[in-house]
Amino acid sequence: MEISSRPVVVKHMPERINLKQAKEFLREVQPFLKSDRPQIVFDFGNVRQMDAAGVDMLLHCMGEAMKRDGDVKLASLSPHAAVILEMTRTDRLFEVYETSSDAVRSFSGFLPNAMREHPQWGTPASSPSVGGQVPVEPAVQSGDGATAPGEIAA
Amino acid sequence: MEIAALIVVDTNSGDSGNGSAAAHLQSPQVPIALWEIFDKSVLQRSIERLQQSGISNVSVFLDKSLPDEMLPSDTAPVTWARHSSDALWREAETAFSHFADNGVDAVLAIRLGAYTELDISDLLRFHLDQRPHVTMACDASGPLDFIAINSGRRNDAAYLMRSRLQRTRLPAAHYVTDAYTNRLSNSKDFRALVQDGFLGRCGIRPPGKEIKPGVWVDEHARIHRSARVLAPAYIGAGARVRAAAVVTRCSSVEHHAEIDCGTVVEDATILPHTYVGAGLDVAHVVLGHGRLSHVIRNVDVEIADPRLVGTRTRSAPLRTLSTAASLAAYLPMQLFRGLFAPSHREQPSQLPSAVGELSPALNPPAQALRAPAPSPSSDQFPADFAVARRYGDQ
Repeated sequence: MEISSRPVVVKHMPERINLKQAKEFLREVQPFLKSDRPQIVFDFGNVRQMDAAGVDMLLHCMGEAMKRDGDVKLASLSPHAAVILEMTRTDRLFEVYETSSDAVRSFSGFLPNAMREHPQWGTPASSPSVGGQVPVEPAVQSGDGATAPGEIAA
Repeated sequence: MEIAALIVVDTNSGDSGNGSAAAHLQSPQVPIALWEIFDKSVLQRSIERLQQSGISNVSVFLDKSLPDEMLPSDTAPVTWARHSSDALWREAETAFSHFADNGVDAVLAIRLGAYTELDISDLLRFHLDQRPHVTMACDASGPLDFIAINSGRRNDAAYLMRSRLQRTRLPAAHYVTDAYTNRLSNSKDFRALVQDGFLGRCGIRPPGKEIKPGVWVDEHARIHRSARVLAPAYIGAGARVRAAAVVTRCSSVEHHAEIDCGTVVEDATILPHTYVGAGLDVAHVVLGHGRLSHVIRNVDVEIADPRLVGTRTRSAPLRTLSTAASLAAYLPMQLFRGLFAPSHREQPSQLPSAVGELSPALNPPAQALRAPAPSPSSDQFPADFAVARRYGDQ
């Protein structure tokens, strides 16, 4: 196996991911997606709201990365984001890790114990409870939210 | 000291798919011990472990109703014996006597079964040191159907064989192990073993080249560039993953299996030579040999439609020929369909009258019908008056 020495870009997702935020976020990550074999981690730790535009943006990023033989991985899924990704069955299209650093390290080697576990894997799921209210917004609704600056980990 | 081993793959023990839930199905029951995990079945792995422990004299007893292609092909120094399920244990008893007559000191009788990584050398050492008639390997959950018998104890052996290794004539010594063990009693256990292999919890590791962290691909496997294979996953030798397919969450696509376009394989094992049709969602299952064993619903389903789940031929030239034939036939078939197939487009039965009718959209709205007609003297239109413009200047 080839050990990756290329940089891994970690982007913190905004608190709300609606159409406006998704467009803005996509504009920010576009340069990284256009690079050769991009390796990107989206940190969902802050996400409280996410709508169809957010899911669409994720799939777009995945498609762009795959075109260039790269990959997009998810980390630190908040319960709100986890519910939306599970509901839209998007979570199974991504490798999901407990922390961003695990996700970054996973580009260099397989980390079975760092992956977010599923109930079918024989151990209790470590994802938080999904019993709370989760707002699902229509894709056209706008909202505010700050995008944390991206960081690049070697 | 000469040791021999008898392995009985018992199909009557309910260790096939989901046991009694599958009793009504027509397709042959293939014991879980013959299902392949990362290119090798539990039977093959058990034989290898015995050989690594220095036991070269191995006899395997299988039900003769199993199709020939289910048998492992590359385990050379093994004696294969195929009998009816009723006669399996009787033949094993005969083989024990044969071993005893030929100077074997102890016989290891194994009923598959469970997958265990117990130290066979240590078990034999324990048996020879303690000098009991019979030594049963056990773990915290109970016996493992892994028994060492002195070759001189023919009566004990006969009693054991007739009870399918369930009862001993005299109290046996117990060799307790804490090695990794999976009893493989149903497809859920099988999937757990696959997951444990991926996650490094047992000694089974995916073979092949790790093309990216956690994704192992064996020789001659073909993955379309738009297909997505997520770690941990294994794509076996000669397997094919077509465009836009997704293989994810500890899924294993065994050798020469095929995943057609757009199908999602999630937390599933696709057994060798299985074709999975296009656009399916295959999750939490073991799929192959014409059956789908659902892990969560604990049920076996027979799938007869080859467009959903089929079997790829085991002969490589035939596979190549069928691919070439389907490619060559595609264009003529499309031309034929285009020229001769009846159109499904519906035509109105009476075209002239249909053309002459006023479109329902141009009818006046219901409110307008209910409203009183404006008096000719009125100099302005009522608020609810609706005007429909038809085409152009009409």
